[in-house]
Amino acid sequence: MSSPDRLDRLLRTELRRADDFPVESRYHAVLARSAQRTRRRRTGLVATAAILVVTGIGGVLQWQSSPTPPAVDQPHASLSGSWTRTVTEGTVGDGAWTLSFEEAPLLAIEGPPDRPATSVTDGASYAVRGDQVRVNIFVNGACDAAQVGAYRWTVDAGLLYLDVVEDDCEVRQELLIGTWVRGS
Amino acid sequence: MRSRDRADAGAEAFAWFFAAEYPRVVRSLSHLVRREDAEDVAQEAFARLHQHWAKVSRYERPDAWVRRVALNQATSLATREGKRYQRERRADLGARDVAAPVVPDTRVGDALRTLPVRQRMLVVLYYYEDRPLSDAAELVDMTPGAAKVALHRARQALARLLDEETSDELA
Repeated sequence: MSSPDRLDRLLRTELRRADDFPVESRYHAVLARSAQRTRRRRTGLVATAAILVVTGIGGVLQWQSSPTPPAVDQPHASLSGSWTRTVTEGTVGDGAWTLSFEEAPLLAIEGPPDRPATSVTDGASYAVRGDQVRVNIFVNGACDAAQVGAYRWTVDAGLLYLDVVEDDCEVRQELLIGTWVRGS
Repeated sequence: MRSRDRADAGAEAFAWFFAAEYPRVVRSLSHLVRREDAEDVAQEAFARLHQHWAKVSRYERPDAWVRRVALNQATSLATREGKRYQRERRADLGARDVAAPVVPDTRVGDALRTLPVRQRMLVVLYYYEDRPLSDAAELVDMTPGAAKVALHRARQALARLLDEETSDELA
């Protein structure tokens, strides 16, 4: 037997020793987590709506008390609409992704078919302040611990450029950072 | 079929799927992260699957869906743990070996955990789960070509560490 064969055989044999370890079924724990996630998501949606309302009121008050208008904190017209980018590497899922900045705070996202990242995205929210946009894409999916990410955006000649300002979620960064082409 | 009957059938199908796949997912993840983390990540992935079961159960391969969710989480966890380990080492805080132990705790396991996370995943999917390389590549979101190169590098590194020779051919 040649050495390469031996290496392959060694890897298979040793890794399969994991089969000897008993794995306790955690079926009920999984069902409990699922129910908890559902409750959390509902709570999160309510909280997001409340934050957006409070932020909106705060913005209005700031506007009224400030001698000069604040920086743009409403969705900029040039950001509105659909943008498409083809992701070619990373864990987010290869293929064409589309972001649609609809009437704030609704951000629709569509990814390649049959990608888990797509499936665990139950819609998202966004908020624009100046040259930064804050998004919570994948908050119910790959970005559990990182609720919101902040990105700097610029639009030029029908292209949207996104760069990260602050985001602990690597999957979201993989998706967003780059050049997006305006869609229909 | 009435909606109540559909719900019962869905719950039963999920239970069967869980019984078949959960242990395999935990064992695979045990090669990538610590055992207790593997169970946690697997539970989270199956909890998400449960939430989306009505849709995912109609996919051709629900097993691929749950693995991809689990692998994504395991990657994030392994990356975070790795960075923390490096920070603690730099600060000389007596860092515990956060990347270890993987299961099984053998010299192969020791060698495996020195690899980058994605190479580790490919090795596990190819050698432990016995998946075709194209299948493994899809699960870690790589092209078949990139996966072949990554697996080749992983084998070379493992061969060095295990004092074995290797070639370009995958057995």
